[in-house]
Amino acid sequence: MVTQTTMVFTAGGMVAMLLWLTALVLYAREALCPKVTPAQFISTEILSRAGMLLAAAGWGAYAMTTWPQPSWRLILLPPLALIALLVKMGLARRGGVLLLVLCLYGYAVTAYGTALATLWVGNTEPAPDLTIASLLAATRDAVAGAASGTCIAYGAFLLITRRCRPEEHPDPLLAERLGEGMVRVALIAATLALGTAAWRTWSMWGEVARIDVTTLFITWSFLMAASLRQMTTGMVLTRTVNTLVLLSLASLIIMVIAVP
Amino acid sequence: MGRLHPLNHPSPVGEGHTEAPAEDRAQARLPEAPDLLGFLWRTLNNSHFTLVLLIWLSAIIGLSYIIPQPPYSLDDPLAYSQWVASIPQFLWPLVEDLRAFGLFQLRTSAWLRLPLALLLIHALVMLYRGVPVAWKRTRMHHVSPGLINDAYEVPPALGRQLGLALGRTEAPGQVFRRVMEQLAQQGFNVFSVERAYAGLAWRWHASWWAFCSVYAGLAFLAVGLLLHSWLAQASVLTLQPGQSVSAPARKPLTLQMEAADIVGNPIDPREGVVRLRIEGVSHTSKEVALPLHTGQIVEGMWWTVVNIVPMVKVTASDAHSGEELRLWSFAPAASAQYPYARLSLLGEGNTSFASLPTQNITLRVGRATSQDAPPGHFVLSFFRGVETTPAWVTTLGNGDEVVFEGVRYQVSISYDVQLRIQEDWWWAVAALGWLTVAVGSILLTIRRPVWLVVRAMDAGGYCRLTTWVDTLAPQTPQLDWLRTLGSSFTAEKE
Repeated sequence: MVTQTTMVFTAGGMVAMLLWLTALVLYAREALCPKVTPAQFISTEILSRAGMLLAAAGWGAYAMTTWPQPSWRLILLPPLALIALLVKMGLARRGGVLLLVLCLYGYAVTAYGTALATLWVGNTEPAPDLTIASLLAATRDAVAGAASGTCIAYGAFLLITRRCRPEEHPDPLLAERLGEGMVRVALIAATLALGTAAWRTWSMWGEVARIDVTTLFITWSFLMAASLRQMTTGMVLTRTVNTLVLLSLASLIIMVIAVP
Repeated sequence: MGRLHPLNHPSPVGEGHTEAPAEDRAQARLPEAPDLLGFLWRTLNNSHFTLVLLIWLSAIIGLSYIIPQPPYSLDDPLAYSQWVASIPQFLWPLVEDLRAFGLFQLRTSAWLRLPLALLLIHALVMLYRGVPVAWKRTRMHHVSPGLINDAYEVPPALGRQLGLALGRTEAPGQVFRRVMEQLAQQGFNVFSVERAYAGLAWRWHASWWAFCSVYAGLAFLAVGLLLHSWLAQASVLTLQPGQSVSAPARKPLTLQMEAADIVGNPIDPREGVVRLRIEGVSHTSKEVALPLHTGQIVEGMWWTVVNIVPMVKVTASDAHSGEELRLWSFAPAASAQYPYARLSLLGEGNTSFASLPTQNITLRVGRATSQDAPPGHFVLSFFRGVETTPAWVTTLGNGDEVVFEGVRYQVSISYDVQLRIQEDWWWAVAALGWLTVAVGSILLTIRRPVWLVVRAMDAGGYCRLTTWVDTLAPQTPQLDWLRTLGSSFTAEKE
C-alpha cells in the first residue's frame, strides 16, 4: 500500500510540478506580452487547478498511509505549496499582484519539488519531536524554498522576456520592475534562510561550516552581488544579473538535494 | 566634491544630461596620484569590486566542498601518507602540485584570506566615502555653501548619479518653486534655500545609512572570518564516564563527566543533559549542566555538546565460580586497563567487537533491526572462533544478563560525550558583521533611497535648471519624469 501511494505521490507530484511550471510561463506571458488569447488565459487556470488536484491527492494518500512516519519535509512542504497556490488564486480574483503571483507559483514548484527530492534521496527519517532545532530547520527550508521559487520564477520570466519584446507592452518598464522585484524577494528570503541555518548549526554543533550554511552563503553572495549590481548601475535585466540569479538557483537546488 | 565640467549646456528650451560614474568622482579626489595608486584607489572605491569579491569568496568556499579538505594538517608525514593513500591512485602524481597551491587547505589558505583582506580594505574605503555623505544627508539643514553658491559644483554621490540640465523660458524663481512643488507632490521631502534657488529633495534618506551599514558589516565579517581562520582555537574532546580529561584551553582545566541524562530512547539520544565537573588550577571545582546541541558560555569559552554516543559496557564472568573474565575490545584506541569492554552501537569499524580469548568467543553489539524489538534494546551476537555466522544472537536491554557457554555476560548502557570548546571570540565579530549586513541589505531592499539636488539660475534670458540625482532605485525617478520638472504644462496636468 505504501509503495503504491508513494508511486502516486511521486508521479502525481511530477506531473503537478510540470503543470504549474507551464502555468507559470503562460501567466508571465499573459502579463508581459500584449497579445493574449482568452484560450491562453483559461488554460493557465485549468493547469493550475489540475496541478493542485493531483498534488493534493498524491500527497494526501501518501501522508495517510505513512502517518506518523513521513519525514518532516514531506509533512510540511507540500501543504505549504498548496497554500501558496490558494493564496495566488485569491489574489487573482482580486485583480492580482503580478510579482507576488509569480513568486507564489515558483514557491509551489520548489516546495513540492523539495518534498519529492527528499523522497528520491531516501531521506525519509520520521519527523523529530518539536524542538527549537527542528523548528529552525523547518523555517530554513520554508524560506529557502521561497528564495529558490523566486529564482525559478525569474528563470521562467527570462524565457518570456526573450520571446516577447517588453517595449511592445503598454508599460515598457514592467519587465524591469518585475526583474528587480524578484531579485529583492529572493535576496530577503536567502538572507533569512542563511541566518536561520547559521543560528541552527552554531547552536547545535558550535560551528557553521556545514553544507546547508555553505550553500546558502553562496546563494546569498550571488543574490547580494546581483542586487548591488542593479542598485549601482540602474540596469536590471543584464547578463551578469541573470547569470548570478541562475547560479544561486543552482546552489539552492544542491542544498535541497544534499542537505538532510 | 567635483566641478560640473562634463554636463552639456542646454539651449534655452533644450536639455543636456550626463551620468557621472563613481570612477570619475574618485579620480577627481586624487588628481595628483600616480596611475597605479589611482587605479588601486578607483578599484577599491568602486562598488562593483564588492561583486567581484563576493563571487571570489563564494567560489573558494564552494571549491572547498568539491576538493577534499583533510581535517588535520598535512605537515605531519604520517598523516600525509595516510591521506594520500585514501585518495584515488590516478590523482597521486598531481597531489604535490595541488598541495603546493594550497588547494587541500583552502579554508586556511591565501585563496580565502586574500579576498577577505581585500574585502576589509574595500569596505573601509567605501565607508570612508559613504559615512560623511550619509551624515550630511541626515542633517538636512546642513547644506554645503558650495552647493548653494556654486551652480557648477557636483554633489557627492553614493549610488547611481544622474545629472540633468534643462532650459526654461520663465524666471528662475518661478521655475524653482514649481519644481519643488512638483517634487513634494510626488512624495519627496523637500528643503529649499529660496534666495539661492537651490533645493534638496529626498526619499528614505535613512537608507543611505543602510547602504553604509552593509559595508560596515562586510568589514566586521571580513575581519572576524580572517582572524577566526588565523587565530581560532577550537577542540573537540571525547569524555567517557569516570575519566578525567584536560581541556586544551588557555586556562588549564580538568573535566570529568558526572552523568548523561537522556530523554527518550536511551540508544538513540536526541535530547539530553550532560553534567560535568570542572576543576581549575586552584582546585576549585564546579558542576555545569550542558544540554545536547545547545551551546553556552562556560569559563569565558563557548561550549557545545555536539554528540552523545551510546556505548554498551559488557562484563564477563564465569557462570559457576563468578570469577571475572577479561574482555578485549577490537578498537585499537580502547583502554586495556579495564577488564570489561565498551562497545559502540554506531557500528563503525571494529568499535562494536570484543573478544573473550579464554573461550575463543567474539562478541558484537548492534542495533536491533526487528520491528518487534522494544525501544532501548539492542542485539548481542556471539561468534565461535573465526566463524562469520553468529552462533547465537540475543536482544538485550540496559542491565540485562545472559549466559552463553558457561559465561555470564552483563550489559549496561553508558555514554561517550563529544564536547566542542571554542576559545576565541572572533566568530562573534563575524556574526555581528553578517547581522549588520543582513539588516542593512533588507532595509535597503525594502526602501531604496533617492536624493535630488535642484538648482535654478538665470542664464542670460532663460532659466537654467540643473538637477542632480543620486539613487539606488533603478526605476526611480524616471528620466522622462525628470525632464518635465519645472514645466508649467506638467504642473497643470498634475
